[in-house]
Amino acid sequence: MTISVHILLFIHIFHLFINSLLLFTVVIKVEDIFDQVAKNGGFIVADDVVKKYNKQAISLYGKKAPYPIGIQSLLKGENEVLSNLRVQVYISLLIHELIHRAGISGHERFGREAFNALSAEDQKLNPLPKKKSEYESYFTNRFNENCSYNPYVTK
Amino acid sequence: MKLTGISILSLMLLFFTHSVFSQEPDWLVKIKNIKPLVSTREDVIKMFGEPLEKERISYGKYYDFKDGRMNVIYATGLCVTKLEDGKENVYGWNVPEWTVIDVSFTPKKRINPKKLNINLDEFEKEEVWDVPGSFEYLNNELGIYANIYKGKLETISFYPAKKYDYLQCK
Repeated sequence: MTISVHILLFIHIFHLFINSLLLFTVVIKVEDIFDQVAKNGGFIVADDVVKKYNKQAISLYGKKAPYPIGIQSLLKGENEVLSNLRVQVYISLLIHELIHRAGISGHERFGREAFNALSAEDQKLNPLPKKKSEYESYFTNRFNENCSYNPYVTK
Repeated sequence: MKLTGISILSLMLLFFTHSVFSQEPDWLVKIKNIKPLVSTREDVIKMFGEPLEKERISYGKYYDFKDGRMNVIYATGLCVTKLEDGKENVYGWNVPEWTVIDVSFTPKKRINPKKLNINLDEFEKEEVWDVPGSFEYLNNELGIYANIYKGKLETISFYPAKKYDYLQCK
């Protein structure tokens, strides 16, 4: 009986140890990624990965994300760390948090800020659409054409 | 019915509180003076002075007020045709360069939309699908957009009203 309790206790402590180790690794890598974002620009595109991310966030944090994610983080260039979904969830949470701190909850502002971030020459080539509903895709298109600016993270 | 001193006082108080609480914020009164597709950069500078980053050549300019930030977007004066998904789309406005096409304001502190004196019931309402509690309100007739987050105004924009559609590049 006593031996079983000890074994269970050992398994529990070992489990906790592994968990904290994993979390620590993720945080370190995310910081690296943020450095890379700040240096290289690059940005984010909203898409339908949201639901999957939210499920992952729930399994990762044991609760719903503070702001359920609508943003898939993308970085300029390849990064093997990004293939790790846990890291992606983490980045998404952080970027979403940053956007909220910047006071952005509607997607209209994505388009406007993307326009403002362009050079005057690029603004001439890429006028904002008349319809506000097209502002988000305007943002996405600018991102796809040129990842060298990041209206939120690098400011 | 005879009005007593107390009832007169109550009525005055009611009138006073109504006029205070239904008063538009200063910034809203100010930015409403900018008319999309009518006002020019000179008009904006006359009203608000030089923008932030005035040296930077950009058709998007920011102004900081004590209550928040205003963003004015000007026309480039060009029409641009783009091939998107196999379809030609035309962007831009047939107006001179540096004509205002959009003015928006993001208050530092989110405010109750009732203070805007705008009836949002007459607007199209769309949920921002990935941000719970965030809704976009659009009125293309008037050219007004509002983003409401958890019941409070986050951003308001004024863009060309439907009556100016003829000025769109075709």
